[in-house]
This record gives sequence, structure tokens and C-alpha cells, in this order.
Amino acid sequence: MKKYKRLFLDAERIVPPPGLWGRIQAQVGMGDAEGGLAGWDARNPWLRVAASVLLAAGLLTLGLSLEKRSGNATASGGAATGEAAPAMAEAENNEFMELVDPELLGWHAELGEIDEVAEQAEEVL
Amino acid sequence: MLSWAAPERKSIEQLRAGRLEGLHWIYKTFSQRILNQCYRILLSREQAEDVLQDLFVKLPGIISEFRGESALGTWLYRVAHNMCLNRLQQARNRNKLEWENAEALAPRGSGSSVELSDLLAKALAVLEPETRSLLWLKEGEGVPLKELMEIFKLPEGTLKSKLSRARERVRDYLEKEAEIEKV
Repeated sequence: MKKYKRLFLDAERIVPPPGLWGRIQAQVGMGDAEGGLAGWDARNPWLRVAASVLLAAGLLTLGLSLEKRSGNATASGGAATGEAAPAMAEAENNEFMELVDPELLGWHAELGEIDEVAEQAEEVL
Repeated sequence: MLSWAAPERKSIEQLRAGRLEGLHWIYKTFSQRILNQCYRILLSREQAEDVLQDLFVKLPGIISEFRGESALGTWLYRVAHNMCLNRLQQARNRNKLEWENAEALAPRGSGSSVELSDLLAKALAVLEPETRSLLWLKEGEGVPLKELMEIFKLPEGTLKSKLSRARERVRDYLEKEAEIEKV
């Protein structure tokens, strides 16, 4: 009996390794008071919200930047000088700009005046 | 198993409310006991640590299954016990040699993950995993019979019978070892 009892009394008791709690925290998405990357788990909802806001802001900035660039190219007559690639790249934007760009509207108006003058000239001839 | 009434209740309520800070107290209080239980079932420190980690990662999701009819520690022992047995069953299904070794008398080969580091591990290796768990909790952790009935979902008579047979086999093993040493 003694030997049997001693078997359990003398048995090794292992302890959890120091990093185990940190790994658990990281996996469940706990905030970590002891340091570590637990808060940066992709399952953290606040992290997702922040990432979405940043993404939206980035896309908005990109969109505005593209609009500004295409507006500048139209004003400088990029199509008239025969710039192939930039003109093609801006072709899609121009469809929108045509509707809203006051400078472009003005150019069409000028064209109209010139045509009227030509027609009057022909009539005379 | 000691009952930590107030902090235990608070931790459980926190987890049930989706607040993970309750997990820390539970880990501090029970992780070593759970780890050693898993170690004695699986006969591998690495596997035991895996199960412990897995248990605590899953705990927030399964805490709703704890009805409070037993102490939290008793319920955790049961969860750990089942996770270890599932792990062994999966390994058996995959026909892993090291897990078959865990049920044999002695390990084979240096690649085995089974560790029979102390005499107890060697003695427990002669038993089935479920019996190892029972014997360790009773003799090693001093878990009362009533709690063992909750953990293993067995009546008192059956448990006593299993314990008696397990003790006999371990004593037989110790006697054989003693004879081998004399030679």
C-alpha cells in the first residue's frame, strides 16, 4: 500500500508553459493587460470598424484625386493635342465631366456660335 | 475539488455575458489541475498543453452548457476528460502509431510522443485512457467520489469497482517492476 500511495504523492505535476495564456488570449480576442498582440486579432470588432473607416477614407480620397486629375486634363485640351493613352484613360471620366464641367459646356457653346457664323457665310455665298 | 464560490460565480457570469475577463480567473485557478489530468490521460505533455489551450479557447462558447449543478472545476474536469478521449479516438482513426503505443505497456521508437517520464506514467500506461483519468483524479487529485460520479456519469458502485480493478493492475505492475529490478 505504501508504495502505491507514494506513486501518486511523488508524481510529477507539470505547469502550463508561460506563453500558453498569451496564445489563448490571442485566439479568443482578449485585450491583453500584460502586453502582446491579443488586441490585434482580426476577430476584434473594433479593429474591423477602424479598418472599414480607413478603407472608406482611402477610397474616397482616391476617387476625388481621379476626378481632379481628369478635370485638369480636359481644361488643358488633352484630347485636341492627340494624347493617346491619357486621353483614353480619361474618356470614361469625360462622359461624366461632359455633364457637369462648365468649361466643357462653354466650349460646346463656342462651337455652336462658329457653326452659325459659317452657315450665315454660306447663305451669303 | 475546492469550490471558489464568489469569484467562480462572478467569472461564470462574466463569460456568459460575453465578457472575456472572467476567463483569466478560471485559467489561474484550474489550468494546472486540468493540464495534469490531460497529461495523465494522454501520456504526453505536448498533447496535454494542446488540449488545455483548446479547452480555454472554446470555453467562452460552451459556458452556457454549464448548468451549475456541480462545481465549475468538476465540470471542467469532465470537459477535459471528453476532449482527451476524443483526441485519442481521432488519432486512432488516423491510425497513428504513437497513440496505439500509449495504450501498450511500453513506448516504441524515439519518434513517439508518449512520455513515460516517471514511474506513475509507466504504471498508468497499462490502463485504458478512461481508467487512467479516473485513477489520477481519485488518487492524484483527491477528487471525492460524488464529484467523480458527475465527471464520469457513472453510479457509485460502478466507479468503486473500476477503481478497485485499476488499483490492482497498477500494484501488479509495480510488483513486476520491483522483481525486474531485483534481477
